[in-house]
Amino acid sequence: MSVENAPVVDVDEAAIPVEKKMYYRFESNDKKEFRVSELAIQQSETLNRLVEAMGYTSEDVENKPAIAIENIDGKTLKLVFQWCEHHKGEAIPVDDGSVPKIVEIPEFDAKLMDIDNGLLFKLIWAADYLNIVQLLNVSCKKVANMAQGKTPAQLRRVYLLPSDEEDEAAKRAAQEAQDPRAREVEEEFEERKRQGGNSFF
Amino acid sequence: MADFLKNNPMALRHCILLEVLQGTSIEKTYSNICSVILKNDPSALRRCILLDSFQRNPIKKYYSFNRSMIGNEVIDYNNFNLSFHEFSTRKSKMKEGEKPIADVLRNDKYALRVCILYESLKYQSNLNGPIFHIFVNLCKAIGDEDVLKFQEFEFWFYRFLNGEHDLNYERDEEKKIYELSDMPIDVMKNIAEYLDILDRANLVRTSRSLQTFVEDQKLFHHTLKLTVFNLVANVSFSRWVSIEYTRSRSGCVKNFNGREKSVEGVPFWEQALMDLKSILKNPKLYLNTLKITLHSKDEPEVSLDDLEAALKFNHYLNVKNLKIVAESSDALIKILPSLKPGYLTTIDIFFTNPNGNSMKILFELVQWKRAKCFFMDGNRFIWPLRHLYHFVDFEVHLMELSVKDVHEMKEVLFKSPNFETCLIRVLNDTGANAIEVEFGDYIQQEQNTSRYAKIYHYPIPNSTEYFNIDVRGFDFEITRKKR
Repeated sequence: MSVENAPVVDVDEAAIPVEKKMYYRFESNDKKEFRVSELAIQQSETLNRLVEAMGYTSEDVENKPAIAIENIDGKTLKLVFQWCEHHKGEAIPVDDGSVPKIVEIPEFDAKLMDIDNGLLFKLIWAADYLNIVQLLNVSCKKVANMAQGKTPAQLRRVYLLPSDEEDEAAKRAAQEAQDPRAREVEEEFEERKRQGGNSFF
Repeated sequence: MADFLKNNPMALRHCILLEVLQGTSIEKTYSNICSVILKNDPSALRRCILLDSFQRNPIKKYYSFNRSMIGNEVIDYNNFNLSFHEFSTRKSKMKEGEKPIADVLRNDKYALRVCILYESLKYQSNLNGPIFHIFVNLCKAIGDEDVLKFQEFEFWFYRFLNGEHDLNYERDEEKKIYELSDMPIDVMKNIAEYLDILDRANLVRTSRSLQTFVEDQKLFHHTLKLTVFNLVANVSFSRWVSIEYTRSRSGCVKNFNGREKSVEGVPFWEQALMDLKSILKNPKLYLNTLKITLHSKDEPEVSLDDLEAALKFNHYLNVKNLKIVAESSDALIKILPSLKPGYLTTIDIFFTNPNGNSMKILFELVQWKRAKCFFMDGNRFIWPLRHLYHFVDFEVHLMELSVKDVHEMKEVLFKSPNFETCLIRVLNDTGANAIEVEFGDYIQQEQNTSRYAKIYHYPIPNSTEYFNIDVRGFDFEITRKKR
């Protein structure tokens, strides 16, 4: 996709002084391109470190290829950058785990996260990978809110949680896939049983 | 997209059928359908408002419109009426050998999609609650939970919400869908942190692997209360959620969320203690407040040894504030040793009959020595005041206060770097007199009050701070202040 028709995340241009107006270009794994302000990037520790290390000038941003984010798709990345632009300049919370976390989901975030679980989990995965602390907090809170007041059976349906039996079956399947010999032994055992032999040995 | 409903009689019939199966009244069904179509069709809405203004009807809600008037604007009321009654009759009077009417929706994936579309339009028009409830109600209506998976429902629901209305779209089943169990462990921890004690209890019951994971996470809970009356006990998690235990002839009856369960051969308070123990056994539980109230007027029904056993584990309990209301201070001595020294900050007690011996043991406990605040009500504090001088903040009632006591306070308490404030209520004027003897001139006597009110300042040597001693009647409050 060319730069001109790349989806550009909404930015409040008036809020940024002219001399500091610096943008970076990022590309998702499905080749969608985004222009993101420097201040918004600061919400992501991973991207912030990356652009600091690259030391791009405004010309570099335009002339060099967009920075590829290889494991996040365009749909998810759009949500991530929309969030970063909206919350740019906000302090990044520090959590030392000693006190209960108090996280409120602002209206903007609630609307942004009015998405299906599949996309929400992708968003969480991206927030974790890009180390965007507050986005991770609000998205995790949203997932936790879904659990409120639900019975174990309902939780299984919402979160697609396997039951213990399904868990065991999946484990067995994984083991067998790793060790083809185990399956052969099993089949041989079954075959001998069918032939009337009581003992395998 | 609402046009689709308007112009597609079959789809509209599916929506009406869904409402019938969900037990919605005819008026509500009609208003729901009209609202959904009107909300999504600005020109129809404008026409209705115009018509309505001609008739000078107050516009409260769409469904307050004159039915015959909007009937032609939105959907044909007569057809609607016929369909509704046809479905209602078939629902209530199923003939022998006839298939349930819900099968129409259950066996046709497109009909089911229309239902989801209709629910998403209702959601957009603010006619619906949380998405999971919509899903549960839909499943109930079609009478089969296995027909529709939540993920399938959610996929279509959000597609429709996003304006993608193609009913014939086929999902790529091979495409990886991210699930909770795909999340990195740090993310799972983050999610678990927001779950309260009850939701976690449900989550651990879903599978063994989640149980192992969830039980390994820190759990902060605000208030846990145990209250025991003469015939009933209560374990409460919040203002709204509690378990009640009532005495019955053969044991007790346990009531949680309106569900009653009889327990044979176990006294009500013992069952409450057993349940409390099962909550407290989690070493990762951090309680802001543990409140224990024992209201047994006559012979104390609850055995304090059983209470002690319910709180005793191989680990200390992480409790920040302890509140106890009981007949005797013996209860405190059974509870305090189980709490984590240093984490326990506040001890708040109400005793009607303090026991001297148990208090002496208490003063030697490390939990007492490392706590920061102490509040006592219900009776007098009859022991030497020096046992309170390590606190940052305390509040007690005294029989009397001698000059010797005030002198000791000045020499010991006022030299404690921790002490910030205290409120002492004395039964008579001995305290006020002793303070006057020890601190001399007062600074201010409040005018226009019949009560005796004096303020003394005691400067702290080598510092800019001082203690403000505010004497009002027989009570006095000491507070550390900056100049």
